[in-house]
Amino acid sequence: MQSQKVSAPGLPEIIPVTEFRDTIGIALINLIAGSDAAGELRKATATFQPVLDKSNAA
Amino acid sequence: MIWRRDILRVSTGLLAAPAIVTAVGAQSSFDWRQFKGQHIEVSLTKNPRSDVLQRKQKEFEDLTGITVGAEQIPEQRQRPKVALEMASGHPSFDVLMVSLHVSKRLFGSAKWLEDLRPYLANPKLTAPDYDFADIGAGAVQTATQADGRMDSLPINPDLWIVYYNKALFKEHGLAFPDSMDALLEAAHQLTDKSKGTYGFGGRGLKNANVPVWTSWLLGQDQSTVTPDGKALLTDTARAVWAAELYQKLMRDCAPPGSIGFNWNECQTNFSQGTIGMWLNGVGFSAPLLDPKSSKVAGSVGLQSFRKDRRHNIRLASSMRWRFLSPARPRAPLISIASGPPAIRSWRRCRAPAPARRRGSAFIPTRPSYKPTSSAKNGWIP
Repeated sequence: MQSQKVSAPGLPEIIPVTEFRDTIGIALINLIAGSDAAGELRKATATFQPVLDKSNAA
Repeated sequence: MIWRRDILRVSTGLLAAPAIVTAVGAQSSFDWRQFKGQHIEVSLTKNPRSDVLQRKQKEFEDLTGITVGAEQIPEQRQRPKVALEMASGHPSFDVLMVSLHVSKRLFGSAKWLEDLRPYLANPKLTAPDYDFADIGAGAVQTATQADGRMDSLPINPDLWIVYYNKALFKEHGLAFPDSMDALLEAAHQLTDKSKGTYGFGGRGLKNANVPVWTSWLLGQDQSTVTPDGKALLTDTARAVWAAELYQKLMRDCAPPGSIGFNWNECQTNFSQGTIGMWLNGVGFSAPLLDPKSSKVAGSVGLQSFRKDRRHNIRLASSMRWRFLSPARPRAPLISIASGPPAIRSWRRCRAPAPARRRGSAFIPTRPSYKPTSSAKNGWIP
């Protein structure tokens, strides 16, 4: 119960959640392979933001 | 005229224990059989809570006179299936289990589900002992759409915790870490590749791996999008910090092949004693605590998050929510399984983390199990 008090949804409340997970998921895999974290997240963010924009506009 | 949408409102929690039938009998003013002769179809995701519902189905049918057809489908198949059926306008089910951590906005935008607030407010349709106020505020908030409609009823939040191997910690002379730096250090110390033991286990598989990273990110008091859902927050300094922590744990302290691990591979490795810590939902605990399936059943530690005082990093658990929801337009129906008796039944059947406050305590599955007794250092016992 105490944990519930500070808990929050672990995934964003957006429609394309699966696409979000796929895009960020690739970045995380690349991290395990040794890529730079900041670079991978920048790339993933740039890739997914248009998807989110399109979803919000629909 | 009686609509089938009304049927399950009267039956909240009826799939639980026989004791509820006795209690119901005392409530003479409430007509539990007002929809006798009706039939409903239910689409469930495969999990221990669904097992409980199906085991209690006959009790529900005997009490209400409503017959039930219920099907369990693995979650990753059920999610697209129900969405497709709802979009068709002709779903094959009347009630469904919704994974709101993925599908909330989709179902909310499409308005596929019935607003349950009028049903909850109607004493002819909601049993007097349903006790809606007992459902946690976070669960209610998650069940509520942006426009205020509450189109599902909470079943369980799968709070993420750290499972840890107490015997392995003891062998290395370690206490459970009290900060994220200490967690990483402990993961390194527990890793002995020559013995095939690793300090940390986590999902590496694409898509499944994201909640591991977001768990660390939530601990920084940051989500992945802005509150309006329009701008990503996935490349901030905090996001990079969380990603680097994920990277260090997964590259240096996790078993080989982790890049292909989902929860089940992690669970198996932990149960065999080869992982020191595993971050995942509390709903995965049952096999770990069962001596028949786990080599570490006697030394499983379960640690929830609160905050890391030393670094002022709040560690919030991430959640995945499962809800029972009525579908429309064929026959919108109401929750059959979120009443107090159902929650008690889940606890007995090792299906922890229900949404109700009275039912949320983790129930040990063995008499010898004792949860951590200290809340020091910000970790919740």
